[in-house]
Amino acid sequence: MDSNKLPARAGIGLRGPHIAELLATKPALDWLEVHSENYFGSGGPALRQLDQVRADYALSLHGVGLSLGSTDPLNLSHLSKLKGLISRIAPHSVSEHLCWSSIGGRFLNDLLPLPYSEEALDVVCRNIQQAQEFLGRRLLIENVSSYIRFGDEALNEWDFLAEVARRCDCDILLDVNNIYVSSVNHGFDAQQYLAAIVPARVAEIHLAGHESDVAEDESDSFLIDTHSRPVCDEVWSLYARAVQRFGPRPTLIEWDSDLPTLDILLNEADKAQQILDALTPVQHARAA
Amino acid sequence: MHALPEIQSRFYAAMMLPQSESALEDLLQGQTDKNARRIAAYRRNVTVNLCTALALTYPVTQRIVGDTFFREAARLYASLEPSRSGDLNDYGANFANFIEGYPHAAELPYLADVARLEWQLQVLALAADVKDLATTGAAPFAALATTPPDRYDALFFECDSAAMRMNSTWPLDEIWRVNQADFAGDMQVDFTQSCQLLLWRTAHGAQLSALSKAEAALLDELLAGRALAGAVELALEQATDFDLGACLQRWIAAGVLRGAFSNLERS
Repeated sequence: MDSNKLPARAGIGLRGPHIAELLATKPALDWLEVHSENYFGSGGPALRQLDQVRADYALSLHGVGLSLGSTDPLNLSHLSKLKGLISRIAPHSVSEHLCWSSIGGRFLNDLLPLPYSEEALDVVCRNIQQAQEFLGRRLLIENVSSYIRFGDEALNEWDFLAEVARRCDCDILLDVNNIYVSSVNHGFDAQQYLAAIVPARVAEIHLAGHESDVAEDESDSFLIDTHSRPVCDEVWSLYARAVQRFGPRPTLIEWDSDLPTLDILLNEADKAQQILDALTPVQHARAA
Repeated sequence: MHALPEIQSRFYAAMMLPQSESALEDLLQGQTDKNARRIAAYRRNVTVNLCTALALTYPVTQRIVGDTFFREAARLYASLEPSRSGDLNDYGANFANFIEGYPHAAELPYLADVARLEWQLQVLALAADVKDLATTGAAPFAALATTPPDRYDALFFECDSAAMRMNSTWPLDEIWRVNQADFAGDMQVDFTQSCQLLLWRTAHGAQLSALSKAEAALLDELLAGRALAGAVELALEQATDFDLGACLQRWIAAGVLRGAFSNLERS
């Protein structure tokens, strides 16, 4: 296995309540992903546990707080903590989101949608380039889900994402659940989204569960990206289409609220693994 | 198309400012009523994220007041105190001060000190690790053995930089003990007692223990980098039967004292 790359197999997002059981049982998984910010302390038991996890598993650091789409200057203290964590953990992959969360130094601590404008493209590309330069490595950038769209957008989300990857020479972490959620919320064709993405750029795929927010009088509903349930059938189908197009990719099951038992999470990962295993040799050859 | 800084400022207002839910409305595609429900979903997410961060940092405070009370307090705090970091572990530094002035918590006058303690324990849990004393090689406490007690005016201790002291007019250690998730004994606490606490960390995380007034007086001096002689004098003022040896041994074993050095060796 190339030690610098995540294996093109199924992994899980590791959350605090599962760590002790994972370390005790060492389930047969090829890789795990954690949220970078949970390990921004200078020391302490959480970091020591992560060292132990890293000794047995390939690891991806997934950031939720860098706010790459902000017009604020990039937060160098945040970036320095990330750099320190990278040098301690030697992760196989470092990713962040195509979104924003801070304005004027105040943070909303959520993955908020950008308007897909030329201006936003310039801002986010400048920040990604600066972050990659500071960290001395290529980032994976993830598409987020959204519930609203801004008026007069110059670009589609998929063209915006593809252009970010091209300009910044960064990789893409394609969240198939987010594509599905946004396609339902905004009425676009998820296949068209997949078709716009250059396969060689896709370095990881995320899968998760979502919920429906239905108005009391049922006159309106939309999907919310809750990471609180199993992956739904539509997203499994879209995932199968994605790996047919892109080839096998490291695939992560994310579950962040109403956490299930570790077994259920591993079972979800196993479903993704079966889809990867079912790819034909030609599709396998598409590995980047 | 509006400029990005304006869009983001108005988005912030729609999330956090009172009566500003519609601040974004004219920037969005689609129907006003539908967008209002979607903005409300973002508002809920933002608030829930901040409240969840507070609940993770303040579990004992939450246990004392119950989930509903805590959620209400957390929601109000979140509306008053913006997050200043992309790392939610940094959120909530002023929660204790907020509780102090929170009218609904007036009947629980010790609650702010409980929150103060929980914030300090979180700071400790994330502090930089120190090397194990056993692996540092040399005998770090040699000076303690070789300095005669009449020269304790020249004997100093190197302390763990993360160790800290905290005093409260409330029995925080007892309140803490009976509000742990696994506590099964008598919940009765004598609220007339005050406490002096030592907070430090081990490989298992942040720890706290109660100190006598004499121990607290001694440790305050040592943590401030002052000589042992004066520290012992202050401790003896609190308790004439104060056992210096037992005290030092306990703090050495806990890793709070990292080494001893004497000015005599240097001169």
